Amino acid sequence: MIVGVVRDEAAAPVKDVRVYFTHAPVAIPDVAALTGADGKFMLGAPVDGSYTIECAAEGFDTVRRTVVITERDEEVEINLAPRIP
Amino acid sequence: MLEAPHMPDFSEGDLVTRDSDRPMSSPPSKGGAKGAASLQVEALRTGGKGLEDVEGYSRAAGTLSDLLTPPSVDLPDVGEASFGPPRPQAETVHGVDDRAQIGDPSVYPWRAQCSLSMTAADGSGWIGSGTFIGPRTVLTAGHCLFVKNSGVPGRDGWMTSIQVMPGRNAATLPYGSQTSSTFRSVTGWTVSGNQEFDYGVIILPTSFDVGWLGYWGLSDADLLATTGNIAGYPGDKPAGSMWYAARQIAAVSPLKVHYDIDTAGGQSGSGVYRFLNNERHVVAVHAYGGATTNSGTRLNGEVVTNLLAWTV
Repeated sequence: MIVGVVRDEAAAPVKDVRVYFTHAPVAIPDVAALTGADGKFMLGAPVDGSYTIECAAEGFDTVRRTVVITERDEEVEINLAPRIP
Repeated sequence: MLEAPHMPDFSEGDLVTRDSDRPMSSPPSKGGAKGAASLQVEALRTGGKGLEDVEGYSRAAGTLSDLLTPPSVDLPDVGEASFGPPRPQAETVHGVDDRAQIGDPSVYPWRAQCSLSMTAADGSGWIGSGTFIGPRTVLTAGHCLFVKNSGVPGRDGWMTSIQVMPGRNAATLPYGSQTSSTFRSVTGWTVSGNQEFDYGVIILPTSFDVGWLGYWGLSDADLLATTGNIAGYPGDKPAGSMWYAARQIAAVSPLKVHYDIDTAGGQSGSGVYRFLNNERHVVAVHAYGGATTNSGTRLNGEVVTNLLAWTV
């Protein structure tokens, strides 16, 4: 499982960030999770391997992160930077 | 009589089942809401190529032969794409991203597509897509209705609620929204978690006058001659914006359809539809990202039988 939290440049949690896989070792359901008010999300990783997730939210640059799952959950912290128009 | 794994399962409400020899729905409808006339004009401009006339949409190579030619790369074995090692690497956008945004989703057929906001049993929020197949019935992926094998305590089971937003355009909801907790799927998904039975419907409290697409259990030959069209709400694009792409169906199995149509997380549940003779029929439900192709649940005879029983 990938357990994460998304924060903004002031380290405040960001709600309703869309978090989804762009790369996975197996076929993955094509849904996107939304972060909660605490900025947290949990995505199931069905098998060990390398997964790439993206975090997208209005007003911020999209962030991509690769996570390698072995036998335990992986925790990720993602910091969003404001999108420069 | 249907047997497992196509045995219906449901969240609440009365469940009606019936057998049918008919491999397709009643005809699609454009609905009576505003915008239908302008869309009829648009449909006439498409020239019968099997894809929609969307401003700004073209494949990367830009030719019709590209549209009608399956990917040249080796496709994985169809069974391997769904189950069993070695598994393919999954990417939902393949090569150049050629998706085009729908400028006005409030007109048919776009308004017959909907944005879904799902709440799972653990309170987590998710986004997906769906396609109207009746005034109160939205076809979508089974995993948009019932979470299976998530690995997260308290998450598995029926979604507690789903907000349905037809024709959504960012923050604008041209037809408003409805929230439902009445869902239909099959035990092949809700009990077994089998990707090949990953489909279901949302039953809405009241009708939307946005029209709907038909659905059709096509033969292998017809599917392989079909341009698959998908419109939905990918999470990598601005929130609530609708995007479209089309591509030839690449491979089929009895229960799955594979295609190289670009998608992203949030488009699960979009109907993969054929546009022929000015009618649109869903032939699969988009559900998974894969290595060289994405895939959906095929609307075979048993799926169509269930949909006929569920559609209201």
